[in-house]
Amino acid sequence: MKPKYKTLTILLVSSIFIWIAGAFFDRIVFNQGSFTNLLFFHVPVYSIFLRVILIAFSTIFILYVSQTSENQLLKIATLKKEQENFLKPIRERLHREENMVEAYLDVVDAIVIVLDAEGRILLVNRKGCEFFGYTKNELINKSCFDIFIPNSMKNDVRELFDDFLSGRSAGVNDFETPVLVKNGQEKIILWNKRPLSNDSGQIVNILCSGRDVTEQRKIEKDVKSLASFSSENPQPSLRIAADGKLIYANAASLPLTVSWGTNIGDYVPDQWRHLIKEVLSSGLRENVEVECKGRVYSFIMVPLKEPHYVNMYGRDITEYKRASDSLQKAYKELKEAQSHLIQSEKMRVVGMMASGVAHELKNPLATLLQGIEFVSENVKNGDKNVISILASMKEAVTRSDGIVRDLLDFSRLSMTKLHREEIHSLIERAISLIKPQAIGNKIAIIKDFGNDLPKVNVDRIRIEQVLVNLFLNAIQAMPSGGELKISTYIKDTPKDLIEAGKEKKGFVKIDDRKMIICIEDTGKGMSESVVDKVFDPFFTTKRGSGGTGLGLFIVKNIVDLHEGTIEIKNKDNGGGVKATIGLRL
Amino acid sequence: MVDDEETFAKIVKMNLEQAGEYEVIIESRASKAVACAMSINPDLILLDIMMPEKDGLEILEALKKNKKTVSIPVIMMTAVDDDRAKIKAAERYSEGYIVKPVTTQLLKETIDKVLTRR
Repeated sequence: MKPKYKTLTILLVSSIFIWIAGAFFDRIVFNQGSFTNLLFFHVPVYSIFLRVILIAFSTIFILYVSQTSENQLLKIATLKKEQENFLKPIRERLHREENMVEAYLDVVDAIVIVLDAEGRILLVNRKGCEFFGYTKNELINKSCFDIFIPNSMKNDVRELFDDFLSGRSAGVNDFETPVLVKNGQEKIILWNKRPLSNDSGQIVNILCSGRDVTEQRKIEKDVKSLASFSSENPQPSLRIAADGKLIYANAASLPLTVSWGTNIGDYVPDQWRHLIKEVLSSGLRENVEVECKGRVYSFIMVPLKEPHYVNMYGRDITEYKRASDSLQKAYKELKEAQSHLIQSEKMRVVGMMASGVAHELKNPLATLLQGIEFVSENVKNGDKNVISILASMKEAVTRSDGIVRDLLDFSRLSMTKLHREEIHSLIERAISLIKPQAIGNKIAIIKDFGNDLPKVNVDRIRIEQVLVNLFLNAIQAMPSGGELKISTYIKDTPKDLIEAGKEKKGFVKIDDRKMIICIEDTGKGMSESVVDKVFDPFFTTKRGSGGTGLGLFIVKNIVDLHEGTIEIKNKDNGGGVKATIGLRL
Repeated sequence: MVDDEETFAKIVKMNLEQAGEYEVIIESRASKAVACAMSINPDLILLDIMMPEKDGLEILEALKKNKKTVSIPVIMMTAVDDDRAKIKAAERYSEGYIVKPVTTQLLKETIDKVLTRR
């Protein structure tokens, strides 16, 4: 309604009201007739006068008031318009900026949330909505604690939040919390918070930007778990760089690295550095066994060209090795016992046969020899052919007797008995037995005996027999004189080889130590065809001079019975033969 | 000479008698050896060991236990080339041990050595 009509209406209503009120007043106060008469028909003049005066006054008042308020309203309207005009660009700018900020926030690849002091969400960007799976409206003004903090974490996060607000954790800007998204999944967010303060410096809002690190944490966890795979390995595993630096060693490798005195980043011992180089240059895997603090480890060394290092995967094989060693030992002992049994049974049978045959042969041989001698003495005409034939027959008998004797000798090998003996006294005794022949052949005996050699487990008689046999062979190889050199020493695996051997190819057993007796002559040496056959039974180069071919065969058998070794070959520089006997210590 | 190998014994007898001033009487039956020794009382006995009737070492023992024969030197002449036999012979006081086959030369030397010693 227009103000003009509004004023007129008020005037009309107020006039009617005054008229009715006058009638009502006249009726009550003066009681001058009925209400209706007083209202319409018999109105006293004074009352008309009074009523008109009142209506006039009220009209003047209303008109005045109406005019004044109209003016004020006009003024207000003008002011409002002015204000509107002033605020419009500001609002527009604000709106633009709001849109821009929202656009900025929406393109940021991070969750941005502004919270008030109660934890209610005042602002959230698109990424935040997408991440949590809610629309903006579903989030705005809702408590973050209700929406995305898991129940189990609510108290902790609330405490953190209060600390932020109070400024107690002013230095801490980054923190991680698990959050729940709409579909119930739990994720991890790395938050960065900034306090927003009012003019009086009080923190009223908190601006949080968050990054979803769920996948990253999972990968980190996986990587950590994978990384711990090696450290959790109960067997040793190591990684060594090409230059020999220890890159990695798990806890199970500790005994080894302690024995090396090597920490991660240090160089491994020299022999290992060499081995690393070898393995890398060959590119081939190498198996090594290492003994360390009473344990035995088997390592496979795996070279990797790119990057340049060697991975060593170990296995504690102490028990296996122990079992295998004792099994091997038992097997060896069994084998030895078996072969000993077979050998001694063979020897016994051969011995029985040989002694029987020998006896049966010796008697006819004796008759033959005596007969030949008798005929030789009594051959009448002194026919040279007869004499020569008789001499050959006598020689044949002698040789046959030699073979029989050697056979008997061989048959007695089964009776070999071992005792701890001092080797040099055995050698001296053997030398004393051949000395006359050596002197007769102008042969000098040179002794080069090792000092403080331990006693050896031998059958004294048999080893003397071996020595005498070899000495005689040497003497016979030097018909026009020479030197017979006898040397003794311990063949010990050098210490560095033991160390290297222990770590590289296995163990150097104490069995590998041997007492060596070396017999060298300065004769012409042997032809190749002879070298291979020296130990063959009945092989002889001295058949003409009574050789039976059983001497070195028996020698070999005697050495075998001692579990020793014997080698007869030409000297490296030529000029003679070298016989080398190795006896177990 | 006590030996069951008669041919051998005969040739040895011929060789020895031809080689020096020896007289060789042969007893081929081992069981008769001691009786023979007692009856002829030789300067020396050559005694075989392995004989079918009696072992030479037993005969040696009997000879050495017998007062009449105890002082007769005994040389064992046998095909048994065995240390144990040699030791047994020595224990029973044999004066020598010759392993067959033997040359007359060695036999003569051994006999002479034993006889000279006495």
